Amino acid sequence: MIKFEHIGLRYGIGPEVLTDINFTLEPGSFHFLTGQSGAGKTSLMRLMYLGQRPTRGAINMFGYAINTTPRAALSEIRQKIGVVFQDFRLLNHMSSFDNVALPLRINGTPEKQIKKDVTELLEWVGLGDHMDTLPNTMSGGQQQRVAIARAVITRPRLLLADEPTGNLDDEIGIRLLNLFEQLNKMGTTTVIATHDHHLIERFGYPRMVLDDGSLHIEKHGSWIRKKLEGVF
Amino acid sequence: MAGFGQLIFWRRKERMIGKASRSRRFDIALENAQGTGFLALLVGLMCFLVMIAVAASFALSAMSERWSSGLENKITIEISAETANGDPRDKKTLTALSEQVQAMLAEIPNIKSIEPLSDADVSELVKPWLGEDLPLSDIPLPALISIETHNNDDANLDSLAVKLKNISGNIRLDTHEDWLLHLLRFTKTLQLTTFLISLIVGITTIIAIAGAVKARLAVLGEQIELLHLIGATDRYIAKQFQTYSFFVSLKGSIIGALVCGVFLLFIGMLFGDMAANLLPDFHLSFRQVMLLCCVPIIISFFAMMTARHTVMSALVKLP
Repeated sequence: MIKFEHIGLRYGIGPEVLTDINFTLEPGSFHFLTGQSGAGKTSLMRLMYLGQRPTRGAINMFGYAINTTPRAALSEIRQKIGVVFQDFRLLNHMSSFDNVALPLRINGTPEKQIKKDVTELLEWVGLGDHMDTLPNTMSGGQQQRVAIARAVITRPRLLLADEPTGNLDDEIGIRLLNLFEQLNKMGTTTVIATHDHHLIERFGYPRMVLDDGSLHIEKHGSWIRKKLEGVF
Repeated sequence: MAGFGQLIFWRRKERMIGKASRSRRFDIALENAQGTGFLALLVGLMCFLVMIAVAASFALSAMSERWSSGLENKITIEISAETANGDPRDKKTLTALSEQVQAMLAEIPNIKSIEPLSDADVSELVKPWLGEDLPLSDIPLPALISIETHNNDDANLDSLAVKLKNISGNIRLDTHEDWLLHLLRFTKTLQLTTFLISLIVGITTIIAIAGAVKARLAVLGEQIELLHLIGATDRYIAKQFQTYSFFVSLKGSIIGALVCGVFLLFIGMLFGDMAANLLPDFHLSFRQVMLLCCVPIIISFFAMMTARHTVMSALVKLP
């Protein structure tokens, strides 16, 4: 469970970019995070993947009170989070295989297992022929798929994706959302920041709407319908 | 045939464009960072200087050891070629006095051995200062008697001095202590200097490596942050820098050590030819050579630990 209580964030001595954020994400939930540009989506995502400490308030993730958890122990919590960054953040000196294998190497997975899992996932995202390719020679869409594969390879407990379908055509975008759904069904709590209203409409999961630094959660009509029909 | 080989090479190279090498070493692009060659060169030079300083220290230590151990409990009795009034003594008188002194020495139980030096021995001793060509028979040379005692304490020496004075007022007792002490003090100062040089070079190397690591931390900040965000511990990130620094330093210091080895061989040959008569041979023992061989490893180890400390200190700033 992820719980944000009265979270506020300001950079330096500037105004608060996030004001009194309160929400709870149940394990296995799926949310879209939306809001206009500058609403604070990236800041909220940074707080969620522990790339930033809040100025005030309390964060609880997977049973850890983040404010009081020693810094050294945060690495273990971060290993439970998969992040798809908007700018991909791939390491251009490594092959796509090594980029995807990175979280596994960090958590000490044996090389044999890494080879099997990474090969399988890269083939699944349609990059089986590009395992040795350097990211900077790949198209934007291919790079995005590598970034997504890197985020999901460890089957994280929380998946955060910032505009994950931005550079993809509709078909691949939907395929990847299906992958996120599959992971979600296996228990991964998922938050996808997106502007794509078609995608939000199509999948119909609850929306976390950021507006001028404040957050409210909207249960989408189709999601409520599905919930009532007992789909979840 | 060479053209065909080249063609295959270029085709292979063309196929590899945009492909990563299979030999993955670092998660952070440390090897691609600028200045790797410069860092290796710098460490190589530092290693060269440290090895020279250590070798010099070994040589000085060997010299002082040989000088002091060779003269321990040894005394030279010098019967001057002149009387106390400054009149020259003839050869016959000198020989008679020498025999008288030897007879007196033979009766002292503290004397272990008595070795009167022949004219040829005395000539050999003064040759380095006076040259080979000078006819030494024309110069009045003193009579020298080298003796070894069981105990060189002050009481024994004083008693011996009195007995010699009774034979003649112009017989000198040389325990070598005065000049040896000065020489040993001088060599100790030189040794201390070499130690200080090694220390300064070592500190400079550490500062240079810390600077290089900090520069890389700044340049590769985004990659480091990424590793941090996907769960890499500080130790995991530091290990990348440690390994990189160790291998770059090892590469540089091995080159420095090889150059130093050649230089020391050259110096050894030069010493052997030029100063064989005045200075002991410049030779390093097997143990000393082994210790010198450890210098590149020690430098690389320090480089590794410096990198670790620098990175760990910097990473604390990340959330």
